[in-house]
Amino acid sequence: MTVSSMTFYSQMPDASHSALEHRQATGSRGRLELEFLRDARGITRLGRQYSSYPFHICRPFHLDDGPSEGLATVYTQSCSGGLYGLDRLFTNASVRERAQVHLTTQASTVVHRATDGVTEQSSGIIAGEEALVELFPDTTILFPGANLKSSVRLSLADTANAIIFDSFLAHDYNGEDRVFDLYENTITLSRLDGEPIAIDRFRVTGNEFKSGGVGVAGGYVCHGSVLAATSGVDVESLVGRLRSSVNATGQCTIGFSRLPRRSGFTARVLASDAVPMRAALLAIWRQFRLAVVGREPRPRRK
Amino acid sequence: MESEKCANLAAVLQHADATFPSGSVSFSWGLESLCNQGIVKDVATVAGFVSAHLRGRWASLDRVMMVHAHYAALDLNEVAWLDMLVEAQSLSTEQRMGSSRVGAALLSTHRRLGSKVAEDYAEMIELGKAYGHMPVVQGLIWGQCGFDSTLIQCMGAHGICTSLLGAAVRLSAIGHIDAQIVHSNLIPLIARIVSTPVGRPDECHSFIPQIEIASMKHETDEIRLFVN
Repeated sequence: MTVSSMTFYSQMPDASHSALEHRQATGSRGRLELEFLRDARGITRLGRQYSSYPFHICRPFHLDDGPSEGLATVYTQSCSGGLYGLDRLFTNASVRERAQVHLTTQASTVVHRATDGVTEQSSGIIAGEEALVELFPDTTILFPGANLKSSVRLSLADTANAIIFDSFLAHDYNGEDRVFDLYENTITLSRLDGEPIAIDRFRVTGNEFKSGGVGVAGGYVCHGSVLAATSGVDVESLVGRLRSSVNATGQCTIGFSRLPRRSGFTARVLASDAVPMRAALLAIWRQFRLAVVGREPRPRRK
Repeated sequence: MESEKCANLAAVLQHADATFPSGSVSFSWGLESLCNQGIVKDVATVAGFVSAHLRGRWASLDRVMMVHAHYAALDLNEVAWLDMLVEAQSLSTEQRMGSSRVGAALLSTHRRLGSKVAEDYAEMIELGKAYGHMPVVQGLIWGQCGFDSTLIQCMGAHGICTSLLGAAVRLSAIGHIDAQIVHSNLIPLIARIVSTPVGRPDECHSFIPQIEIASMKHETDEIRLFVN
């Protein structure tokens, strides 16, 4: 478990049971709308924005230097202490031509027991010509009884670059062996006309995941995946560099491969917990950024 | 009528037989890499591996595409759309390449046997309008042979089992008799899967991360008996 996720646990409201029960009975209908524009100086600014409970966004930071000094880093946060049953959260982001953005979360997202119904979250992101989009949320933590349906669709122009990270683990806060009910997750990378580049869609029960069967989780408890679409990058060389530089330790196993038509790459990671998972994903991020803009990113503090 | 049934059954046995030239003997679908890593090494782990393939991918993705391709046979553009979805959901290069090579081999054999639909679909692939992935071609071709949806699913599951278990024997993970024991034990699972209604093609899913990682690692493995 990451330090950030531990922090997050400690910040969770120690319920007010009635408020929690009310919340679980109704769910939230949260919506986040963001538009990123590149200004005349090459700095990516937040244009149109709208957020409703439980979303909260911080102002954009410009943390990198060199070729991506104008890249905006935006931390999205939730005021609610995680996701609950019946929550319906929608995010739409438009990254305009030549804008660069790194979207991340302040900490892990915990998904609580879905007492009254499925928890749903979906995101749609559009990346214009020569845009750069990095979607790097922290690990999703599925509590016992969680039932989450999640989808991310990133549609990008031919000359845009984009990378999506996704990871989850099952956690029982009582230290028992209880697991989440179901996790359905879809990540789609597509062209602007809708033609899919790659689709990673899975549906797994907590018992299937925890059973550690050969071929499935293989005894690991944290799962991660990466989809990246690149433009003007030698994908074969990039995959070679990823294989040689992102080292799997005894705590994780990683595979890399080219996406169809050499349009990018994918990575699949299984890890013993969130710490080696995060280390692997960060190493992949650094190689992606180096290949796309020529310089590694600066670390993000959390 | 009895003679017609016998002819149909005999045709099923012909097309599902391991000696039918489908090209599938060259593929291990991640098994070779897992054997090289020492993860799959005996009867229990081979059984787990084949079961994971059946539950985690074949049941929820390949089988669904196969059945929809069977019903879409009169509209090859619809079949090509299914093919595109399989391509997009086959993230490992070797998985993708293996699936399209088996599909191409099956099409090629059926073209030589005089299948018009195999001829037409192979032409679409040559024109870059389709990929020819294994489950889509199986559904298309076997449907045109006159087999119903249940039969083609059984043939598909049988093909996966014989291909994976054959690879396991060649990799010396198990012996011939153990392979048959594993296969026998998987039949109730296959029956459960086939009796489950298929979902929508745009909701297909798979979850076999350890096999996918193994397939990705196999791309650079030095010891390679199989294509994937």
